[in-house]
Amino acid sequence: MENGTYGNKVNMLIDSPKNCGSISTDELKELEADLFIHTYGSEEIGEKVTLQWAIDSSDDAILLARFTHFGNPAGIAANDMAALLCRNKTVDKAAEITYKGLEYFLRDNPSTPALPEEESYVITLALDAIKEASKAYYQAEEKTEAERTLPCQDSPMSIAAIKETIKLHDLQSIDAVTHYTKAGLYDTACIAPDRLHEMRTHYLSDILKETREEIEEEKRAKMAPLDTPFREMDTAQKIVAINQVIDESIRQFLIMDGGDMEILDIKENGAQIDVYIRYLGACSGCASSSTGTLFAIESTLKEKIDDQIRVLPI
Amino acid sequence: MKVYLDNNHATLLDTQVTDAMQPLYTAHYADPQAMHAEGAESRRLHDQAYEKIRASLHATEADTLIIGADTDALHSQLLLAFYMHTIMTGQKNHLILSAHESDAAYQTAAYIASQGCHVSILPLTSDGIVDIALLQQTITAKTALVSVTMADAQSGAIIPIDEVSQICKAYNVPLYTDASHLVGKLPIDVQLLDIDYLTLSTRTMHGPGGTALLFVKAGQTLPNLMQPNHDHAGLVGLGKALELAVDAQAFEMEDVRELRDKLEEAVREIPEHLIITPWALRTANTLLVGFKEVQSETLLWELSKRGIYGSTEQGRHIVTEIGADPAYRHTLIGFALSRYTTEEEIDYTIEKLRDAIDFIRTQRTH
Repeated sequence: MENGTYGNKVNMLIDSPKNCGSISTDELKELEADLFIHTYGSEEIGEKVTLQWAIDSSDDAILLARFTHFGNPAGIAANDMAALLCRNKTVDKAAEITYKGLEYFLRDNPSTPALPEEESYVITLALDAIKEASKAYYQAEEKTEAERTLPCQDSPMSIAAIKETIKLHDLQSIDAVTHYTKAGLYDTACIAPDRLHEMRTHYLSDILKETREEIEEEKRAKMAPLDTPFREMDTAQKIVAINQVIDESIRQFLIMDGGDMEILDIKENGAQIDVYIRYLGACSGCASSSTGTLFAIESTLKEKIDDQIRVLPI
Repeated sequence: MKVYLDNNHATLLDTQVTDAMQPLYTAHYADPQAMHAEGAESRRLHDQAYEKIRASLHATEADTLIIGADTDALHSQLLLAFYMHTIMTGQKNHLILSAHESDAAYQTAAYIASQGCHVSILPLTSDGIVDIALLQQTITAKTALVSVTMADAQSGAIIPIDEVSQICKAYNVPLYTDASHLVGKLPIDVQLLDIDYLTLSTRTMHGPGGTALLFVKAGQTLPNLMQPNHDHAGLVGLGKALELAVDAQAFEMEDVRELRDKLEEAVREIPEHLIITPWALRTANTLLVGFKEVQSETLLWELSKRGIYGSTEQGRHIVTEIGADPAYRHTLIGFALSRYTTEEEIDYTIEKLRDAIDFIRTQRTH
């Protein structure tokens, strides 16, 4: 959190954000857009973001995104980049911006993380704010108790959001949960019951335990087709296995740029395994679909599944 | 310009202290207990340091002085020593700590509580000082130890430790206090105050960090659970730093206070601020203040960019404890001056602080 700990890009965005402030009536007029405002968190909690979106009501596209911020100053960088990524996305697509996607754009270079691990929550909160704004925009159904309840006095994240974060990053410890959600950082009484503080209705230790059990459960359910070696699987199982690898390593980058891919078929061609794919959305017609992106997909599958895999886009 | 205003956490070592410590590393490094001539020389420096400490605290020859790790560690060890010696043996069943103590102490107390001991944490009044009336109501004959620091490390609040001591004496309960944030600011007389256990670090008084003093009043039965470290250079440094601090006390109370007051006056002119603990109840070098809509870390970032180093106090829930507006909870920033702080530095700080707050309020939170 001091000037020395972040990379150049984050420092620059903290000091000179392009999207910090509010949207004026003139700008709205020029864009012929409606103003949507959503506040996430509070000063009392220690993190507060007010998002202002100029939205084209015909297709719910965010034409302009601005924010104001109270919290860890690195949040200025995260929200500024997030505001940029929101542009020209529909509100529901903006809510799908991934952690990896946002974090990657904040890096100075591909191999150095944008923030120290203890401040990962900065990115989580910027995205949670957008998700909450999206829910408010679409006036989604009644929130469940888990979605309404904030277990910690120093984090704006609900129990549901914390659980999602635990699953997303496969968090194993309370420290890790704190790093990614800010919960339990200052309000340590929310972690586990102790005799010095009054009882809380929810504890992070319970939330973590419960979520880890759910993760193990889901892993067990998924594991079934993958116990067999890849070449012995039937085509349907092979497709599941390949999709899993794509989901883990590739898909978010395609989605972030407005694209995606699907597997059409898998054929064995002697020793070689041919995977036929079709590109979707912005990927189809993109120059990289036959070069960089194709190479990334093929090398990932070669590395993680079988080195005789060949990817053929239709 | 670089302005260091985080002196309630760590301070520059006084050159006189480093000069006093140097020979312990380069020439008189022999063990003070050794029976040879080198040992005797080390012993002499050792004893000299203890003399300085006794004089500064007005302790008697019969009182015990132990040099150990820093105050947090000593306090934790003391709590555990009492736990094992008096609580596990069934004689006592209660511990009292004020809300001014360190995190380390609370963690140790939480462990003791988890073993079944009753632990009371005395809250603060709206002045930011531990509620003494509540101490009176909470203490019993079965209380093993009362822990109340002399001055709050973050807010600078001065606790009326004489009142605390009187209450403890009435119930025959030992009192532990830490003097680190009061030394050099107000006189400390362990006999007058009738203190049973005291810790003192000169880490925030231009002395070495990592070594602190434990004072044990004559007659207190302290089990052999508290053992000294062997940081002889640290002991000599602490003794010298303590001597210098007591000498500089008048300077601290007048000149440092004047500079701190200048800063405080400028702060009072900034709209929507909250100063923790009234001026009259605070040590001369400290100002803990929150500015609405200005988050601590963000302000620290802006100040740090301008070469000013204060402290954030996000770990404490002091705003909640004193019952102030919760919007200030995450806005506190601490300024702690030292006898090295100059007027030029304070003038610069005032100018940059105004800039930074204005900037954040107009460009970031709005």
